Amino acid sequence: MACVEKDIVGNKALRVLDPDLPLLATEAAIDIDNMLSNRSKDVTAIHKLAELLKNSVKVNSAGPPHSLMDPATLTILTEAVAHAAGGKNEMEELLSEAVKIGTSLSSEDPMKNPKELKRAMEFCIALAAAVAAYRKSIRDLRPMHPFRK
Amino acid sequence: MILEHTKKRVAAVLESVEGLKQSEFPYSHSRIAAELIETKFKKLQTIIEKVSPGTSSSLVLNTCRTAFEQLFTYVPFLGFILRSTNVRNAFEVYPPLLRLAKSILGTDMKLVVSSEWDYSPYVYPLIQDLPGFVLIGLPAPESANPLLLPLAGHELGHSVWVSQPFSVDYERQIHDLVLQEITEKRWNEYKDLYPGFTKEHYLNNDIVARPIWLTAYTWALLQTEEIFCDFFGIRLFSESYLHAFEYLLSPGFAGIRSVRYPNIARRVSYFTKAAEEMEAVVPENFTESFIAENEPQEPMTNLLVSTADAVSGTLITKLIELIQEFAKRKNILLKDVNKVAEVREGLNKVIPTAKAYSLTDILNAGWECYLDPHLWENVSQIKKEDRDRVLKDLILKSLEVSEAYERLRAAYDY
Repeated sequence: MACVEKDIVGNKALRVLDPDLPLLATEAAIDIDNMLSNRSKDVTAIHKLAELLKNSVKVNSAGPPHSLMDPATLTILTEAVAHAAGGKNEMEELLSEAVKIGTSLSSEDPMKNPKELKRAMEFCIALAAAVAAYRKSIRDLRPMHPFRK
Repeated sequence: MILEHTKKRVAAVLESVEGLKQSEFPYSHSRIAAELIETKFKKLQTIIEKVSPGTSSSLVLNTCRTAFEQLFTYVPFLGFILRSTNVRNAFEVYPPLLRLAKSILGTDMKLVVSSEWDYSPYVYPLIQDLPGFVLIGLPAPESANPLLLPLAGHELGHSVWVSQPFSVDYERQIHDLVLQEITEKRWNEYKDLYPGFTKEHYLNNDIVARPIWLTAYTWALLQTEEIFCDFFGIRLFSESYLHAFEYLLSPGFAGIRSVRYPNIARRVSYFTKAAEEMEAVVPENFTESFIAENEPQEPMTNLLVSTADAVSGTLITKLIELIQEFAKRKNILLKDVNKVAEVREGLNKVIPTAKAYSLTDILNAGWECYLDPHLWENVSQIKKEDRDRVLKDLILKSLEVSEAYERLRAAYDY
């Protein structure tokens, strides 16, 4: 299964304007919820999102992880991580949290750590919300007709 | 209840797509775009179906919000696709435009030419939503006017921007330039308006300071893309792009400027600079044709947009060089003044072209005729009030003839 997912995502990293991202984050959140409630065990979307995360943060064994994302995507991601991780607001801490969430999502048996999985679900929900808000903010910059309210 | 509403809204979109697919499409790309959107909404429907009665309310809300956003994103595309089937569009422009777009973006790209009941050339800021597609639309009353075809150059520019790796390099440059502008050139202004932050907050990626400069960054990035697209239009269509822009958008509105474009005075000055470098002639009184726009009065918005303006303004020369290099790499020909003169000679005699000419040469010749106050003065059969209509028909016919010759050339390789 992991191989198939790799083919789909490839080396794609997180991009806030990726049209598939809101759906993927939403689907992953639902799949986690269903898994936590023993309703299903579908990990396809969860693993796809994990792969995107993995391709977006470079992990250094010697130092803190660093971002491979554009500034807008990084802001959206850290906002979502901060929502799930609560109380952290340093960039390095948040990226480390993102790596942890990614690891939790990419597990072959995510149910091994239900607490981490619940946190990953919160992250997915926050990510979908932040992406939607950012996309709307860009759409709203389009000049409106002067008589349209 | 909200979940039920969402399910029904998504089902309604799918029903509309089904109806749309029954339309008589003049070319296949419109149908393919409709099918792509259908696939997206079927996927969305599958995701919504995964929500169970036991799902938490926050997750239900999140799912419905995602679906809501998808409706806002894709339903306008469906309208655009539907209008692409309308006979008000000049279908003659499609093949040469597709040929040009493929030469720039590759043979896999898809093109939809349509119209919009909104008086501006159609702009899809989120062109990423339909990867591989270029959507070009003009206001419906002008959608059969071939003289405005050069504005398609701007839309093609958006597709080039999102598909080329150089846009990522520009993201990095703009990131650095915005931070430099804030912490070096405009520090006193930022310190006064955002007193809680030091330079280190901005430079060290503090997540509370990020939303401040991210706004300036986003606007600078969008402005840079729009400037790129304008320059791309000039490079593709020479002065006919400037004529078309002036025709459709002058004098503009008085009032607060949009933050996603440079203000009109700057934008026009950038046109002039690019035109000089790209062998295009700026129309007489071009600058004076546009009304100055006001800057935002609110101090924070004003500061952020002026930061974005400064950053995008520093990239003008690089953008011109970038486009020149890209055009060279793609073998995009400049306007050929001799060929323009040949086409014009035919049009002066009320004759469409009789061999293959580039879109650029035909459209520039068309604009020269349009701007000639003495055109067909001695042709008694053409009344003054019919002049524009006849000229547009001749241009469309020239495009058709040229396209036929291009196809023959491809078939017989002569």
